Amino acid sequence: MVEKAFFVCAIITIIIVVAIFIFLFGQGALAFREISPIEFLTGTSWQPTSVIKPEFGTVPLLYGTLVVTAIAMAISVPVGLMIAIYIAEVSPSKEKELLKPFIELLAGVPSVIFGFFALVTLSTWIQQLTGTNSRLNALNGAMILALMVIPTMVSLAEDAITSVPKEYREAAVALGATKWETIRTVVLPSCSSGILVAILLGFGRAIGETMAVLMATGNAAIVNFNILDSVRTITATIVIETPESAFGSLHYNALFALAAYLFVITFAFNYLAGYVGKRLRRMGR
Amino acid sequence: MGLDGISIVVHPNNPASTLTLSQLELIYNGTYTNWNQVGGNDATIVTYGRQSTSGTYDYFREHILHNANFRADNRELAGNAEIVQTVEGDANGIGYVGVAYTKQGVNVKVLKIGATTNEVYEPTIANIKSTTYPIARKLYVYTNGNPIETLGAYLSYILGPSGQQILEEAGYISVVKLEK
Repeated sequence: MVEKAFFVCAIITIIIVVAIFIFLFGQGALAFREISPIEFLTGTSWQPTSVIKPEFGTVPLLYGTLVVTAIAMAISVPVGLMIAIYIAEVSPSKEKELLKPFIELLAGVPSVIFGFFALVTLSTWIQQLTGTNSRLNALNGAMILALMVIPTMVSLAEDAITSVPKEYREAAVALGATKWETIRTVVLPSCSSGILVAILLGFGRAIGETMAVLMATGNAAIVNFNILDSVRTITATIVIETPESAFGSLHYNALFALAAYLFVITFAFNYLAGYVGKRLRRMGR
Repeated sequence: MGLDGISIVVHPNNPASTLTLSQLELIYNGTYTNWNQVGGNDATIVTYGRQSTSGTYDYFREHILHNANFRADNRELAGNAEIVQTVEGDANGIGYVGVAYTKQGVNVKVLKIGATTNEVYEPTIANIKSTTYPIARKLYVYTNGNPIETLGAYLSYILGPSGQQILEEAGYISVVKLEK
């Protein structure tokens, strides 16, 4: 009986995911009755509500999403791993008891709060530091994203590192390895898959985050190859425009196509990372 | 139910203090990119506005841009208060916001606007009411059918003297006296 209830719960989640998938792709596909897929994938102008001629080129949006996510990951992966290693391997237990809850608390802060901080405070710091003209920019969005991703990453990576059996460390130390050598050559390789999961979940949060980047990046749909210029992410575009697009209109369907596009990108990245992770583990052995 | 004047705001240190409607159009459609083209410093113009879900966005595009596209690098922010806050911190920024958002303790310069450089006006209540200040949009309340009961009472309240007084205190302009 209990078993059946668990089974039903598991099945319901699968049904919901499949339903979302079908709905997203079904609605999105309708957009391509009028927009050519080539324009959608390679067009450089996103003007969906234009009175003159609506344009649905997603290149600037994809650029915005990728550049913000990439910078956020470039900051959060090293910082997050360093924090995780410090908490798991180095810090005395009293310090650990203080650090962990604080970092977990940071993970629970709503994204609007981060967004508001980026809008008002972080943007001013970046402006003072770099003297940039445009205070709401890709770097601002990426830094606030990094701050949001780090707690997730630290939490998971720290669990992975802690779960490495004590005997491994003792064996390494017995062979004369220093603490850093033990961490680098024994502990980290044996929990690499756990760390990969931590990074992947961080990535998922970064690429899917909406509210904070919406507030931080200025949302200009342009490709300027300058991290101090404004960008517009796919998620921000969906949130900004969905409330105003008439149900069933071309714009409405185009936004679903955009969401499906993001889904495919995220899925592809996760798949790729999973594949690389498997190869890494095989090479490690 | 009321008029909402739209203020054009810039950073307090910006030497420009007036703009004509056509200058405003050329800034927001991307023709003008430097403040020295409209009598300011030699600096790139950064434009801020609302996103396409906003009535102000539609009004601005229709009446200022004459239905042309906004420049591609126009920053689209989620609210009037956000625009004011950002322009406060951006020496080369320009934004459009409802007059109500420039009332209390904000550190931005409100530009005088007019059809020609010699006839520019501040967005004061009197100027908006008399339409000498050229950018204002009408605010509507939409109801499903004829409003009755609670909704009817609510509408007569906002159109009545106390409702309209609150409207003006908040920075909007009462139109009831105009139309009746």
